[in-house]
Amino acid sequence: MTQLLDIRSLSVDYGYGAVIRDLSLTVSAGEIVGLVGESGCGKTTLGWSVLGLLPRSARVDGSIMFDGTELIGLQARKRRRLLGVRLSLIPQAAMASLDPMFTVGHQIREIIMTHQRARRSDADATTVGRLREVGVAAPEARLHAFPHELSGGTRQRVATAAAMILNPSMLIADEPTSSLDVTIQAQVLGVLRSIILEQGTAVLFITHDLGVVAQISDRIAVMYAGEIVEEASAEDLFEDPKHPYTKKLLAAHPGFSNKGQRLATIQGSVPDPAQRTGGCRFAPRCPVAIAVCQEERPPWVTLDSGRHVRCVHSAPNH
Amino acid sequence: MIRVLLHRVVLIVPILFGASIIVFAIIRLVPGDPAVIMLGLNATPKLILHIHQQLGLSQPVYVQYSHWIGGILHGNWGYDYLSGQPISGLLTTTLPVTGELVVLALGLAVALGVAIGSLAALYRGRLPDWVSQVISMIGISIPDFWLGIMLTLLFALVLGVLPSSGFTALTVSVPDNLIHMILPVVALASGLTAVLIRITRAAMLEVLGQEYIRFARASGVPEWRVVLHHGLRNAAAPILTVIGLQAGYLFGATIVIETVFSLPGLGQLILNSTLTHDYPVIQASVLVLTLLFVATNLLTDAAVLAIDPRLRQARAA
Repeated sequence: MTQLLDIRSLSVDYGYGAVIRDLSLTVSAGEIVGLVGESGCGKTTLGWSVLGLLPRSARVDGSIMFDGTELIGLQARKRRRLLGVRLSLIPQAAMASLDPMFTVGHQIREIIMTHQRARRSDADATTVGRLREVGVAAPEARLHAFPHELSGGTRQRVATAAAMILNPSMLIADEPTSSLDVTIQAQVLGVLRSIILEQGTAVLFITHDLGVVAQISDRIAVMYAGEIVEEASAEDLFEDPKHPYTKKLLAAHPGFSNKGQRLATIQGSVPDPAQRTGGCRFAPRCPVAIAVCQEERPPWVTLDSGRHVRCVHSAPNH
Repeated sequence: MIRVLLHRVVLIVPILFGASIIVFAIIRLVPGDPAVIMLGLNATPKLILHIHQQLGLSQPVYVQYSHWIGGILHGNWGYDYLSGQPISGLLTTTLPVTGELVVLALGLAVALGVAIGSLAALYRGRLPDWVSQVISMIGISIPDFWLGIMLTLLFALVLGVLPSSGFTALTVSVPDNLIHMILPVVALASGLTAVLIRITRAAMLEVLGQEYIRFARASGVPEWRVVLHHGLRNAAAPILTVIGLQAGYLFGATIVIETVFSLPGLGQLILNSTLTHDYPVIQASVLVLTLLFVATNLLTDAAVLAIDPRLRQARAA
C-alpha cells in the first residue's frame, strides 16, 4: 500500500531536550490514524512538524514524506502550495481558530482565493455547499456572520469546512473536539467522520481522549514522551493492549475499564523533555519494569498480527 | 455604534466646560499681573487700577468667568490684551501651522512605529528586533527639544542642507513649506515613534501567537498576508488607543518644538501669551488644544469601534 504520509526517524528539539525522539509513523491514503497520549507527550509538536508550523528555534531531524514530497526543509513557497490544498489542519481550539475580525465567508474565501483563481461568487457558493455538508444551519446567512456570533460547535464546524474546502487528501486534526462539551463533541465528530469517509480523506487524528479515537480511527498509535510505544488496529488495541502504558491508559478510561470498580490512575506524570533518559521512557511509571528498561531503549517489536510495540516484554528473546 | 459615538460627543461638553474653569483659575493663580507687564517701568498704582478696570480684572472672578464663557458661547473669543486684536484672528493664523506640524508628525510616527514594530515582532529575538529595541529606547530617552537642537546643528549648521527655523505658509509655497517642516516634524515625532514601536511589537507578538494565525498559515495563506491582513488588523485596537492618548502629549510638545524652530503656531502663541499674562489668549488657545485632544480621542475611539466587529455590535446593543 502506498503511504500518503511517511514519517521516518523524526526528532524535534526546542533546545531543552528532544520533544520527539526517533519517531516513525505512516498514514496511507484514506486511512484514519488516531494518535493518543497524555498532554506533554509531543502530539501537537508532531502535527506542527508535518505542517511546518514549528518555531524557528526548533531543531528537526529525520524525514517527513507527504505524497512524494519531503516536507522537512521544504521551501516556504512550495509548502504553501500544499497547505490548505492537499494537506490541511483542523485546529485545536474551536473558539480561537477563526479570526475575530472577519466574517466566516471572508475567511474561507481567503483560503480558496489563495490557491485558485476564482470569482468571489463562485467561492462563496463553494463555501455555502461545504458549510451545509458539515451541518451548519442557514449557511448563506452564516457567510456574513462574525465568529463571535456563532456557538462553539458551529465555529468548529466552520473551521472543519475551511480545512476541507479544497478537498485535501490529508487532514491533521489536532484535538478538534476537545474544547466542546460532550453532546456537541459527538455531533461534530459524527459530521467529521461522514465527510472524511465520503471524501476518502486520510486523517491523522490527534487526541488525548481514547473514547474519541475509538469512534473514528482505523489504526491507533499510542504516544508517550515523544515516542510511539504501540501501534495497532483500533480493534486489536482495545481488545488486547500490549504495552504497559496502553494497558494503564485503558484502565484509566471509564469507557473501557471494568464496571463497578474504581478507575485506575497512572502514578507520576510524563517526564519533562530535559529529564528524559536513554532507556524506556515509561520505565519510571511502569509496574512491570525490569533492570534493562532503565538502561536500554526497548526494541520496536513487530508482532504476528502486524502490530508494533516498543517494550522488552514483547520482544521474542525476552 | 452611532449611539455610542453620539454619547461620546455629548460628553465633550462637560469636558470642555471643566477645562475652561481649570484654565481660567490656574492662570489667575500664577503670580504676576498683566497690567504691570503692559505698563512696564511706568507702572503706578493709579495706572494699574485704570488698566484693571479697562480689562475687567477688578470684577469678581466669577463675573469675569461668566463674561468670558458667555462670549465664547456667542462665538466671541475675546481680544488680545496687548494689541487689542480679536483672538479669533490669532487662532486662524496659528492653528494651520500647528495642525500641519501635528498631522505630519503623527503620520510619520504611525508609519515608522507600526512598520518597525511589526518587523520586530516578525523577527523576534533576531537582528531586526534588537535594532528596533535600540531605536525605541533611544527615541523614548531623548527629549524632543534636545533632539530638535541637535538636528538643527547637524542639518542646518554642519551640513547646511535644511533651514534651521522659520516658516512659509502652505498657500505661499508648498515645497518651501515642507522643507521648513522636516526638522520640527522629525523632532516632534521621535518620542511617539518610539512608543508606537513598542506597543506595535507587543500587540503583534500577542496576535501572532493566536490559533487563528496558525490556522491561516496552515491553510497556505502567504506570510505577508497573515501579518498584514490578520496580524495588523487584530493588533490595531491597542495601537489606535495609544495613538489617541499620545496625541495629547504631541499637542503639548508643540509648545517646545515651535519655540525651538520659531514656527508661528498655537504652541508659540501659548508660550508668548503666558509670558505676558495675556489671559484671554491663554484661555482661548488652551481651550482649542483641549478641543483638539478630545476630538482626536473621539476619532481613535470611533476607529477602534469601526475596526472590531465585536465592539461594534456589543456596544450598540
